[in-house]
Amino acid sequence: MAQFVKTDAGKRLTRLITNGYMDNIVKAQQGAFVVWIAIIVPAEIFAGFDNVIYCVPESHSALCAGKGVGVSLCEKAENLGYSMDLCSYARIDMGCHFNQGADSPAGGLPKPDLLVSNNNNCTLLAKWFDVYHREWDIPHFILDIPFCYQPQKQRDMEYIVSQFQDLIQTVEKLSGQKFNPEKMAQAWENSVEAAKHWRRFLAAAKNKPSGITAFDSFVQMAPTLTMRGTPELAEHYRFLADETEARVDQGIVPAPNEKYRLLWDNIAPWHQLRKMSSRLGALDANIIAASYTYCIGSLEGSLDPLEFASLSPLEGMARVQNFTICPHGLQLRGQAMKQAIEEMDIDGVVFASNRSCKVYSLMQMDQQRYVQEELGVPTVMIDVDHADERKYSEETAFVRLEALLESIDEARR
Amino acid sequence: MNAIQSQLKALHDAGKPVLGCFPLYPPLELIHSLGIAPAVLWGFKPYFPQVPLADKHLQNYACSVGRYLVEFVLQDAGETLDGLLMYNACDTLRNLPEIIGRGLAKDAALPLHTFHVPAVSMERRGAREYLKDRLDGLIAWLEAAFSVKFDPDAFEKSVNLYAEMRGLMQKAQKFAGEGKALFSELAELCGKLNFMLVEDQIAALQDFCGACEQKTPAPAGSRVAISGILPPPPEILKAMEGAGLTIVGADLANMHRAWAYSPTPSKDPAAYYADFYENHFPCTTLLPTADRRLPALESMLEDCRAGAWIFAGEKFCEHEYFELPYVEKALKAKGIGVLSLEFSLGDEQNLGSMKTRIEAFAEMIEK
Repeated sequence: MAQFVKTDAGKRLTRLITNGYMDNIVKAQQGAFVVWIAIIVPAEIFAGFDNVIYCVPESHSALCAGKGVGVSLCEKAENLGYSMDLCSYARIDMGCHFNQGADSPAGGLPKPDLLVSNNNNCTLLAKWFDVYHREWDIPHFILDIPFCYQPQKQRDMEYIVSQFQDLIQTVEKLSGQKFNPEKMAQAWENSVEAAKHWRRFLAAAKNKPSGITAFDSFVQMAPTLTMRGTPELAEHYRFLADETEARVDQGIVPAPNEKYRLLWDNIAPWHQLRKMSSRLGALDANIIAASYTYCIGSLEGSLDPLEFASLSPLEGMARVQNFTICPHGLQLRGQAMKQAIEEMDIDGVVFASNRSCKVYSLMQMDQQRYVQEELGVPTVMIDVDHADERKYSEETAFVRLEALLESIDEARR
Repeated sequence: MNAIQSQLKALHDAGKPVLGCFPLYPPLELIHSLGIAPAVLWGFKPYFPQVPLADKHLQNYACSVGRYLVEFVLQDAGETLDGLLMYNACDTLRNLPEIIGRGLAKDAALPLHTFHVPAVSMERRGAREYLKDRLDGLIAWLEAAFSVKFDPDAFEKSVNLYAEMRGLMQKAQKFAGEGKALFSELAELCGKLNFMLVEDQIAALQDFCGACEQKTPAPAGSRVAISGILPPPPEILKAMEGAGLTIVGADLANMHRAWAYSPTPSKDPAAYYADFYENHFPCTTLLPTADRRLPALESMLEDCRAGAWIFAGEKFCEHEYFELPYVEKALKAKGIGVLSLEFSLGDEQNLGSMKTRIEAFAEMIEK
């Protein structure tokens, strides 16, 4: 049975995240230049300015969903005419910010001076930010990042770097602040350091029983999005990895009777983290890893850590424009999943078909076939929505999850 | 074999390599200039009642455009298509090249190229150069895959043919607006043009326009414009016309958006396509055109004197639906009547209620 004891890193995380949201509100009130970014946008660039802060609407929407206000905020956006078929992160965000931050557990995000999106994690994000651009008359800078069917090519990296340079000039112009490349380089070093410790934390899943659950990684990835480039992030992940390793050494693990080691494919179902983890724990099943988090700090199509020594900070940031799974093609996703299955000795894969994230989900039927038929690992597909609970049925999902566990038993006989 | 497949097979059997392209605005002139027949894989809805092969690869919340496209390519299995070209547009379509690759049997594998069109203004640093690089890569791929050679003069000739075709399209739309043709007839023709050589498109449009010139205009009904990724199903278009609506503007991705702008003729693909994408009539799928969309739509409504607007939504098309509330609000503020319809795969059973809404809308705007 899973043990829900909040670790010191967990408590630390709560403080960090809460302070982060509060700090942003205070700094904005004191005149900071506010940028809203898509999760992949290189936040380290903003550290090169004295008084520029950034907020991440996707991460804030996940927080809202996790705190149980996702559906009410979605409904607010729907009442404004936004289709229920649009991404639930976007609906939550619009529902919140077109109602002055209503219902947000963090008090909403300070209104932006600049919007920066990209089109490789998901193109719809550019359309989502365009809504604010039009409604609030705020500049919107789109980073055009080529999708990677294959690992990023040198020419693509150069193209991305040139856009970063453009972005820096845009922020200088709009904020009236001078950019300091040394401060950005320091922020980049912090991010590289943080990624190193993140990989160490994830490696605890290789232990038997696993030292972590994927749910831990879902929650702990939040500061990767909202605090990238800060020394606090690097320090937090060092603390997290150290504590996790120490707990494993002491035999303290989340599912001591672990019988089934599962892999999750998709964004976390934020509204279900505790419930799903708990019910799976009762079945001696642990989702020990997730494609959503295992790619952070690694190369496309692999779980191997990135090597940055030969790259300048801007090149390094361009190189990690594929740091989440969504910009990866099917072949690359398959390669990484194969490595994950082998390294972590996975018994079964849960493909969470997520109506709010087509870019993640619309390859899953082929990916599932690959894992099941070519790698010989049992799989199941369940229907979820990462933030709109109305599109999820717990009982239906668990009927299928239990069937997966049965098929793992069958395969073992 | 349905009508589209027969059309493509005729091209293929005539010895011309057929390159299936998606989505709507690939570099057609370039492909044509190399002696390859580009077929824009769009608008399959009238030809497939079901999509059993696509259903093995795509969940049912993928838009019908993607599902029909996959169905067509997998059913075709290389019988008429000799290759595939895809450029970046939306999150669903960008997943398709590899899905199609997995879906085709090994012995039916098709040469496939993905082409990245900068999703930013060509005025942005590096965008023009990057587009040029991508075009050079595309030309190299086409030359190798189809044993052809790029020729600037042939390119310019193709550019001029496409300009002629676009001019005829505008003329045909004008005739429809004047009541000399039904819009449903024009939409049906446009659905077939994607699978013809540009020379045949020109001939078909000349015939269409020639026939229109002989006709007396039908009495005008309430003038409406339509927006969407696809035209509504033929039955719905006929229902609109039956309800007394005259469709005078077609802000549709495969119609006005596709042919409203012709770039300056050139022998240089890089210069030509920088102009093409930079100044393209706004489309929800072309990110840099977003700021121009509403003014262009308002101007179109004004030019064609449309007093009402119908949004033909394709279910699950985020690009269209993120803009809908804003456009609706702006047009209503100008006193334009607005009707929003939604279409999806398998909605043939539900068209009755839609017809009722159309009739009610027609009555409302007539008053």
